[in-house]
Amino acid sequence: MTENFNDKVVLITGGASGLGEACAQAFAAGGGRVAVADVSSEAVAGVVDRIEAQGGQAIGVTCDVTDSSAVEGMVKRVVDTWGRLDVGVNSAGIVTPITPVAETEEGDFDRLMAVNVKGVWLSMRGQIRQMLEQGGGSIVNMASALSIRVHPGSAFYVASKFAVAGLTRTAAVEYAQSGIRINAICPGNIKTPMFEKAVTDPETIAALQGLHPMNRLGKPEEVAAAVMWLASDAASFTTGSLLTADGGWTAT
Amino acid sequence: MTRVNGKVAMVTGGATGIGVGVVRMLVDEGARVVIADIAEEAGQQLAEELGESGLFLRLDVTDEGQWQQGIRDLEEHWGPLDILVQSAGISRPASIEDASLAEWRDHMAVHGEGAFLGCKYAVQSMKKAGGGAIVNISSVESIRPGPLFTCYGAAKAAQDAITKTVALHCGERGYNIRCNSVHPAATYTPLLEQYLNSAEDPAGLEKTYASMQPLNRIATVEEIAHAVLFLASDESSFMTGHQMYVDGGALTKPYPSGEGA
Repeated sequence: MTENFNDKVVLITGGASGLGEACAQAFAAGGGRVAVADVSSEAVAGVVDRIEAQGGQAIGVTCDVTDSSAVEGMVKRVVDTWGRLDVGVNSAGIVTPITPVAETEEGDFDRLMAVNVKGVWLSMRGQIRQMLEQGGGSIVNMASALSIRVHPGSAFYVASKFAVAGLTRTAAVEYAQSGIRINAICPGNIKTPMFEKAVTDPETIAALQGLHPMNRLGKPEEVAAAVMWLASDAASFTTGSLLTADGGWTAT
Repeated sequence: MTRVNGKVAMVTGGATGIGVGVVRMLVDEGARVVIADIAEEAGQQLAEELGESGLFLRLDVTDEGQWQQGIRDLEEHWGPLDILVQSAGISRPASIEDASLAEWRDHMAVHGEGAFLGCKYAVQSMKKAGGGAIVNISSVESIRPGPLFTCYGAAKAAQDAITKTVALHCGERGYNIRCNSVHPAATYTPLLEQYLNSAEDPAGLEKTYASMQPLNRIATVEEIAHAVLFLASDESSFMTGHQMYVDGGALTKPYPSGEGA
């Protein structure tokens, strides 16, 4: 456990799967009141149930982050329930199949950018508006080692994560004197359920592992610990930063 | 408070500035800490105050023999090292026109050779412990040096390169030793107070320093120590070779040219 989040109100987009779920569990275990937001209401309910079963506090919000009115509704729901929003974690994101640029499709581009860039922008905008009203807060966006490095075949994903870094740093400077800190976390390849389902070939796993000097995949809890650190008061002088949890990948 | 419970740590420059804050926080979180410094009186005093959890070691970080002896003594006393925080540093701002070769060599010796020797002997000891964490205190000046940080900026950049090569080497060898750096901007330390007090207009300079950060203030030692604690603890177990900025957003802005800071 890193920092204490007793009664802090935490909204996590993409909170029903992968790294978002790991963050939801970690903040709840740290005493936070957690709003789990995701597109699938069934998945959201599952995570809320698991948090409550462990004695944590959570609500579920079904939300498509590419829809501006849905995002406004998401923030409103949290504020209606708990009266404020202390922490926003924007973890909703998708990938498209590995494809070289010459063979990429317009539909894939639009879909990925909508979730990974527009979704982060809309979520951040809604969170910042609320935080301005209440006088402060902290936002952590899910960027990636691919906000710093590139990977052939992942042009859309890389472009989207570079964009998340740019949104994060710009907004951080804009709201630095409004009590709102905005940072991003840059994970390497993490052994999420989605990763384990998508990548099964031992050679590919070995190659992806080898990108990290630690020569292993990260654990979702390791990313959640870094997100919690950024969100906590311990990081009170940290804003506009990209924190890596990548086993050394971006040091290479 | 047990985030580094039972760990054996060494903090160079542990008797002053950021080092003191780090020593106190590591002890509060359950570590036993060697305060390694050339400042004997302050170091002894801090060690006494910390009782069983603190030990003073006189260490000039540029002296290889002292590193070898110091680590040997530490291992005999508490066993191999788990955490090394390198906070020893000097900073005497001067432009390229004013800085002397002797100043250059002093800065390179403390930050470059110091980090080299510290990492070298820490890795040797940590291998016996089955792993460890090294945290090097760098600076925003290594990433985006101002015009008066001729020697300091270059020396911190040298230290940064060591941080990364140690991270890569230890990762590849599977030593379970992580190596990261923390990059503070202006922080309220005795060194900063000294700058401020020597200025014609201390309040004006303080304001200038604060304005370099989007947060428009100067950091506290505790805010830097929090970052060091995180990187030293197992919470950051997938982080290595990382440059962690605790800079109030300073590096998101271009250097404020003409302010002479």
